[in-house]
Amino acid sequence: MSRQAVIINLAALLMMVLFVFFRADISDVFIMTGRLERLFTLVLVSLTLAYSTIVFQTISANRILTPSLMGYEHLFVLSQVLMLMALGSGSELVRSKVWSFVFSTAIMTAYSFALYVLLFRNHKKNVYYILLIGLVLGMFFSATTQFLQMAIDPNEYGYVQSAMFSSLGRTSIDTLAIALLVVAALLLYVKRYFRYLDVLSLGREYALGLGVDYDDLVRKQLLAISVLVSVSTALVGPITFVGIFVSGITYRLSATASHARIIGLAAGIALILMTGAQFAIEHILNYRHSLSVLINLLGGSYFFVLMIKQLRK
Amino acid sequence: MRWSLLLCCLILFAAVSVLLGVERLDLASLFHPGAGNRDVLWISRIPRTVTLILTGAGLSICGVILQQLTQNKFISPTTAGTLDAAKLGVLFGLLFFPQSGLLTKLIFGMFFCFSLTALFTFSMIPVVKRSTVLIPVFGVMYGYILNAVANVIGVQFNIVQNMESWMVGNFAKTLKGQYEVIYILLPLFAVCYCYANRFTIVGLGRGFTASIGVNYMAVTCVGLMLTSIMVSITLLTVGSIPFIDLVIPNLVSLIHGDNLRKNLPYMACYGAITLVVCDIMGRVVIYPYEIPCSMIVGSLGALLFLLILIRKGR
Repeated sequence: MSRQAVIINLAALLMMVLFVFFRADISDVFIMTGRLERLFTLVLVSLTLAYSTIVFQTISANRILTPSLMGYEHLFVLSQVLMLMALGSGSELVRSKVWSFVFSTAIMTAYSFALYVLLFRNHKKNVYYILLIGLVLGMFFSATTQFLQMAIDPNEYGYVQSAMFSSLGRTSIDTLAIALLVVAALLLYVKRYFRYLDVLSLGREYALGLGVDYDDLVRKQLLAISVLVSVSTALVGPITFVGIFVSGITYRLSATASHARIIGLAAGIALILMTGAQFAIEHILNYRHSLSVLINLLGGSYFFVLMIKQLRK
Repeated sequence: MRWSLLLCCLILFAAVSVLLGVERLDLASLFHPGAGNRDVLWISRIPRTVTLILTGAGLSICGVILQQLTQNKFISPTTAGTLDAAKLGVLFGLLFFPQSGLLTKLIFGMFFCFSLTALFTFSMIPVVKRSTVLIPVFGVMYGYILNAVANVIGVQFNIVQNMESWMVGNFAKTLKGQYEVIYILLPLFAVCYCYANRFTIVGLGRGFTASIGVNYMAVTCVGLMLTSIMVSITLLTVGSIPFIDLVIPNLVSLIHGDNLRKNLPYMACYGAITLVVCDIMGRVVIYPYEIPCSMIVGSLGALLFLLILIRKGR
């Protein structure tokens, strides 16, 4: 392990400990379970986020794009609103967090498959072109969502608002268990492809020359990314700019091309960022803002700087 | 298409839009003074139709001007963050001067809209030639950031729902006494028409513009100013209408070619017809209630834009 990795891991550990034990009475079961639950969610989200962002950027050979900009988040909100509209806020299915999680994940995975079949299978397509289509789809979903929000009465709108801005309060043990199962199975499956990913970052011709089945690998990785993004969005809602923020810092800190290491580092950074933000929300901002609002502002301004830099080149 | 045919279409749909509604309008009774439904006509129906026509025309023209300035067919107020910039500006107007009228909000909206769109346009100049799809991607992300800032402010001051409901482009709120500001668009159309040839020249690139003696900066700024004023005004009167500014110019240039001066009236006409038709659809689908026009425009427009993208992507 490199020096940076050690420091990041220690800092992440420190943040986790601080997050759980800050001004807490260890014997108070309610507070401790709540905190552990939130921490566990954050760990899961950091992992999925790091993997999906880094691999997506390797495939697109660009450090500005992230999968969450492919319209997933708006589809997530739309699926929540649709469910609320169809069943009403009094319905057991809407209230039960497990089912709304399963419902959202299923819809988003179906969406990923559709995207994959329509766009990714033709590997000659430009990545920006694909991203533009994703963004337009996102706008399409958000136009529909905006309209539906108008039709909902203000009391029920509260439900939608909590879906719009990610909040850790919506997850539960059951939801987490499903998410953990999905994420663990998927990570186990893609673990053996780490070595090939390193070759992939050399570009298509080099990868093919070195004997990697480029297209097959890209397809598998895009699939894994879709599922992971679906899980993390369903878990805490939309957090658009955290991926770009995390990958930017990771690449600045580490010069290695090994994906296993980079993803580990990125997950650590994501964890620090998110526990830090959540800590600030709970103890400094008094729950006024939600996680996504805070992180999007931070990541958004970072992205702005990155964009200007990229354009100057 | 022939001019006469287009105008006939516009007049036909405008007439439908005027006559359609819960309160039935009897054509004959309109000419008798004192009849009750004259009020319906003058307070609600005619303002609504006028606003629809002017908004559709104005947004299409905004779209084509921005296309020329950025030399990119996929750029429009929707994909350059212009709408979000105006939203942010109006939000600030709402926050700082909650009591003051339309004019303050309009000035705030215009100011933010102009400066933020200018920032985007000028930072895009160096990469114009690199990739056609890169610039709209950046533009959309830029819009997302502006939107995130607006959301933070909205959550902080507890006006998210107010903001959202007011951003949905809805023509039901255009009543007599509230829609008149839209008439500012009329003189602006004339200015756009006068500048049309210069916008075409700017669309050929900075070097070329300078070499034939046209002031690049001045024309670009005039174009951005016109766009910001038009977008802010439509945003304030009806809310945000996405995609019409993107799709109409592309469709018109598919049908009529790229002569901007000749095309501007066509764009205005097509834009107006499209918006009137979408509004009529929104009023018919769940009659006697109505669906906000922006939702129909947003869905159909996004779909059309996807088709255009796929067609060009081949």
